[in-house]
Amino acid sequence: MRAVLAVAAALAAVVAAVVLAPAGDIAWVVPGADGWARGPFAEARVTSVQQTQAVQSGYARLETSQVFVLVGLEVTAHRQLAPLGDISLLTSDGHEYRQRGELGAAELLGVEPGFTGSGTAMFEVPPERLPGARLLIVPHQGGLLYYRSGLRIGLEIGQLQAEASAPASRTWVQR
Amino acid sequence: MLVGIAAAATGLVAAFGGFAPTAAARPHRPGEVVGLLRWDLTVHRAELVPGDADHEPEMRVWFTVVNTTESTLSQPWGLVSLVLPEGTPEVNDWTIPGRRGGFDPEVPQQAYVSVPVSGWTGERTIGVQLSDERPSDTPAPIEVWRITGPVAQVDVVCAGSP
Repeated sequence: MRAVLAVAAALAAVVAAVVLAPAGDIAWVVPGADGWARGPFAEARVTSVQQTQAVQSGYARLETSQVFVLVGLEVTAHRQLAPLGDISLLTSDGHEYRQRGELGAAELLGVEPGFTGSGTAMFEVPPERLPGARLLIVPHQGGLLYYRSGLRIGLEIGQLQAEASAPASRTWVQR
Repeated sequence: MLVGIAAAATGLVAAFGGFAPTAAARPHRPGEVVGLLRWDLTVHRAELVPGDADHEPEMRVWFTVVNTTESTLSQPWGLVSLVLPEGTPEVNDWTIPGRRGGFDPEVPQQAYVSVPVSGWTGERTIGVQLSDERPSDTPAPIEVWRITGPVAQVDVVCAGSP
């Protein structure tokens, strides 16, 4: 009986330690000279950045009074838990914008371990917040599991375009 | 991640505290911005939308929604109730036409909430009740928000018949 109680207490302590652990201390990996940011769970590089107020995606045309930022990405996944559901744009004043969901087939939602995927992430941001923006990639946190490292890539955002066309699809290549 | 956390947190609102005693809801006009702790909500109009083979007739209440926090949020969960002759349903089914995704910080979105209706004819005045919220103390490393009660009511006329 005492052993059972000890095991239960130990389990409770482990669960409490995980649940109550601070979640903000993420170690950020930035790109090297070749443009790739190489973290323990994935490698990624930004291949293009566009800003526009209208996007043609499939049959739909999206417009905004703000700015759509379309980021072309290549990502190589290393681990089983590597769905890239946590791609966001962080502005220099600390505002965090989640990847929008309107691009459908062009979005890079997840990459299986051992593959390199390419796709487009879209964000909708007030234009005054764009200077100094960075892309953050942190693996999905499910249940009690979460990662303490992420990729952080600076975005060099060019001129505003009248309209952009989203790529028709994402791709995966085994590596 | 943030949307997921927000969804989980907002889903815990009722479980962690329920609803505080109702405060007086001040009247506001359609088109007037109601500033809440995390949102600026502007009620514009209500409309009836006819049903079809796949959908029931419904009433939509249109808003301008602005997330005033620093992170994308899924929706203004638990903050809007409609004062109808049939009752005061809380509405959480937010739609941004043509869009998928949450409400980004300081990006205004035209969005609506809807409730199914049947047998409505003529004009009706609909009360749109807006509640505020506040963060709830919890040892868990997630945000939990508690609804503090109605702070504003906007009356709009819903015209037409579905």
